[in-house]
Amino acid sequence: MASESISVTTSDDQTIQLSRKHAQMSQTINSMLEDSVGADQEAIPLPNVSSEVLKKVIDWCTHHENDPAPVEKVKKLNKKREYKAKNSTISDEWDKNFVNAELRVIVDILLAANYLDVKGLFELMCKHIANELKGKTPDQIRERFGIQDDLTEEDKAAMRKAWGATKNDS
Amino acid sequence: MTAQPLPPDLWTEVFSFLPTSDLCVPCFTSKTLRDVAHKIFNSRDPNYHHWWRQKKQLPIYNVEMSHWWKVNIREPVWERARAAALQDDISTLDLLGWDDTQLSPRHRNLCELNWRREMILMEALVKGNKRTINACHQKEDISGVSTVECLLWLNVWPRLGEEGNLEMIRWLHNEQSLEEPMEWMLQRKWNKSQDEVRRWFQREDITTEWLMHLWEHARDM
Repeated sequence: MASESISVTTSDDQTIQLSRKHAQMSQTINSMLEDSVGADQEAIPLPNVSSEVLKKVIDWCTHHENDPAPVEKVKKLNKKREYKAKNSTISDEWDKNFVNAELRVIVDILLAANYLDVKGLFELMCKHIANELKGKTPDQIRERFGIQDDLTEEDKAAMRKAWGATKNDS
Repeated sequence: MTAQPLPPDLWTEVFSFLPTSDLCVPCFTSKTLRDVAHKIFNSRDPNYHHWWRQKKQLPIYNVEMSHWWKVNIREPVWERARAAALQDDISTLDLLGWDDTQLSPRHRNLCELNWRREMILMEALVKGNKRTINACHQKEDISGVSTVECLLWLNVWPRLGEEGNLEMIRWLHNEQSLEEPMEWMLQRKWNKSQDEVRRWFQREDITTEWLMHLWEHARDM
């Protein structure tokens, strides 16, 4: 019979125990478990995830352990014959508190969720960052996310034109 | 400690949660984000080579952002002023203009639809946005018969009825002598929610003959 808990080793060499149920919420760990059936139960290495971030991931998995499996929605054309943006509303109060963290932590969790392939958590982090972008000017976005402005004046003029500039200089 | 940079494929996922208008600003941050935004446009619109020709509404989350695109991209269009009126956002309306007289002649010619202050007032009335209505009042847009005639011309009554903002309907009923438009409103309102109209009639103790007639008339709609 399979053990009820799984050991994983994080990037900072910490060994952390997590329940099989939580481990299986990560497609990456799940695949590793399936590949290692019958083999000696060694700690699964997670070289891209720190113990601090993994604990956050486990917190999220604990809260959402009884959620139904996410379903891939089929994209549909709207009345304008365009595909709509995904809904960025975060409705769960617990999730709202969860994303109320420093940007560094949010980005680390997003990267971890992507690596571990935890769909619900990955989507939550993407929604949060998308909502963070709303209402910010380019300078504010660059400052917040540490992005360098490598656009030339020609690039910007082309973008202005693309976005319907009606000024004579563009 | 600063956040790690996100790889482009993750920005693609993030941008998939943003409506097209919200992709404007990221386009002006860096080449990477611009290219990711273009990828999203292309995936959304089957006629992607024409995406830039469509009417793009720029975001108005705050005055700072509206100021940014007004300075950097283009002058406002009616859809943005309308959105500000619907959100009761006076600061943005001050920035965009309560009418299109401050726009350059070139921009006015290129815009599909120009706007006047009465149009702002109508949107505010429909939603019951008191700050915008008061601002219109201070600008003397709401007093006098000419404004009422203007509102009639702008088709405000059916829209008020559709929106079903009882407070505004009641206010217009009490403050203005507008019996004829009331008929339109009640008919629309009746279509939307019969129970709500019935409760309103009971609450307001409306028993005048003409309204009773309407009550009967609306039931047949």
